[in-house]
Amino acid sequence: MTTQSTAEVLQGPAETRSLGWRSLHGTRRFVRRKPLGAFGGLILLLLVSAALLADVLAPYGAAQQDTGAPLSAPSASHLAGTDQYGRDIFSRLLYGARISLYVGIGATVLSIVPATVIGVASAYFQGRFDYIVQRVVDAVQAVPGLILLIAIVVVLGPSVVMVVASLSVRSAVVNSRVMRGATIQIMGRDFIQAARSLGARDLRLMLRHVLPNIAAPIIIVASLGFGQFILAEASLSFLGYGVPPPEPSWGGMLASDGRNYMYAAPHMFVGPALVLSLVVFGVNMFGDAMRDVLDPRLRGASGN
Amino acid sequence: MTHYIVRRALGLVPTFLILLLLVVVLVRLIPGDIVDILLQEQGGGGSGRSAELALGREQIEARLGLDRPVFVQYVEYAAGLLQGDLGRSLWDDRPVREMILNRVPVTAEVALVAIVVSLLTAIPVGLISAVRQDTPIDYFLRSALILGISLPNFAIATAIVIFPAIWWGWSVSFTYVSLTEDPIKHLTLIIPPAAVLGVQLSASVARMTRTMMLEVMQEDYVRTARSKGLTGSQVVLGHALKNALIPVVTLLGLQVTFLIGGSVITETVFALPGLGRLLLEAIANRDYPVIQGIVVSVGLLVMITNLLIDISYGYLDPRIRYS
Repeated sequence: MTTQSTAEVLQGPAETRSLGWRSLHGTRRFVRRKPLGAFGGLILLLLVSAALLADVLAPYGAAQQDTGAPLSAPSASHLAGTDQYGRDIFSRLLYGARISLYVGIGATVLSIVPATVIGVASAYFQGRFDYIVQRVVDAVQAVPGLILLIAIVVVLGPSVVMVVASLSVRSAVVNSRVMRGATIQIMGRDFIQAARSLGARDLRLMLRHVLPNIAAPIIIVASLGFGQFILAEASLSFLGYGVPPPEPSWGGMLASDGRNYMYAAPHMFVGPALVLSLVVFGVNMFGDAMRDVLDPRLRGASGN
Repeated sequence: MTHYIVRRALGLVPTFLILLLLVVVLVRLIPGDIVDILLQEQGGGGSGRSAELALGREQIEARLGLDRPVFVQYVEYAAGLLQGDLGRSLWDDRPVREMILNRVPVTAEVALVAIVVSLLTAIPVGLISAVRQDTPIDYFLRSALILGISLPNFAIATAIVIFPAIWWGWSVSFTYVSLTEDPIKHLTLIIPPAAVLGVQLSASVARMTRTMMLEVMQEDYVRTARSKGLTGSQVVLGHALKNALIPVVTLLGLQVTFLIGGSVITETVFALPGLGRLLLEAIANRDYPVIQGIVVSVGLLVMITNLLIDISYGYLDPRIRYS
């Protein structure tokens, strides 16, 4: 594959057409070149729609109980069956999309922003500051993610917000190294020297000149992290430290009730497992395609 | 070369001290402590340490050394570490080093088998995927692997335990048997968790193999090899693959953290007496020295692995010279 700039691949060759036409053209190009990535994008779109339209689409409330029919198998009235309290699993999956989206987006933002700040600052100021920051990154990186995650969640306490915060901590520190690497490359370029000699201050240099040029790794790390966070929340749920019930988190549905009733009602496990894996699969495919398109050389940024 | 190794090894010291500090502080931030738990057991007539039965909070804290400032505890802990002393469990007073060493073999064995599983699947997959880039078989293989990391590993592990039981009435055994007692039975216990971790590991290994193959296949020496008349497979296996695998070695080294983190999950599902379960129990009991001991030992292992990987670069790729 020949190397093309971000703009070229995403929007097609620079032509004097309207923005709408160009982005349509870019999308078609993306679909043709990266069918799997486009499929992933479609799943992401479905996830967002499910989360936004849960109130309209869901036939029942997330906590609404059909006491006459607990543990019933999928049928016309309960598309994905019911759980042990007679709650409609299909509806809970739709509402669960909100939690997944919240966890995914929340943790992504909470990790990518500090990662960028730390990484850019570390590479920009260099010297002793950089040395100390990098030793801290080394130290954090040496602790297995899940173990650190459990420890932080136990400290912060169980709630949706705290789970999101805990998920983001390690990835903020570890991903800062990707941002640092990208910044170091940019710092060697002539335009930085030029801007500096024109009298640009540190903050302006970092915000106006460095940041736009490390957009590609930021987007890639963000899109690959999203799926990891949803999965990590599920693992936390399994260990008893995830988003607390009765919130319909997919991880929680899968990890506690789904597992407990697996013999009696396999559909309670299969439904959440299918939805969760489809979304993570889609996000990974999309992230992979973004990486291929934006920067094929960026490796080891998957964040696990 | 020697100079480089010494410098890198010394560079581990500050990192290790920071890790130690992070761990000591983080562990003490965990709400509720062992004294509460011990006192609760006294009240409820539980089966805790009988020696503590008659003691009050201050006495227990003094006995366990928890009444001194965290900083003092940190320094003492670091000093103990230098002598290979990881302290004793607050819960049952056993030496932490012994507890960890007892649990390491199971976790290490599962991790090694997982690495073997992942290499056996990932390298062929990555290779085929690269040689047949952007064909249906490439898409199929990549999708299959990504699907493998799209389910949380506890779900895959649970499915392995439960579905065979539902369908064929066969279930995984949960009584641990050591290798020396019954090697065959032992392996049937090790392989399922290793397969779960191995398949997940292979996704990133295969992806890396594919990316590197694609890159290497465009190198001049590959074109030279082709033009001097070597067959496709000679070029791919003899020239390209060898060079493409260097970053794969790095990647495997970085996955030590994944394998140990994953062991927390698989050991819980498959009831294996490894490091992961020990850690969960220690967190539940607020057994600080045990939590610290595990995290610090794992951290040290990871740092040393990374160092070894960097050094191995020189042997794998003679073009790399250290300064």
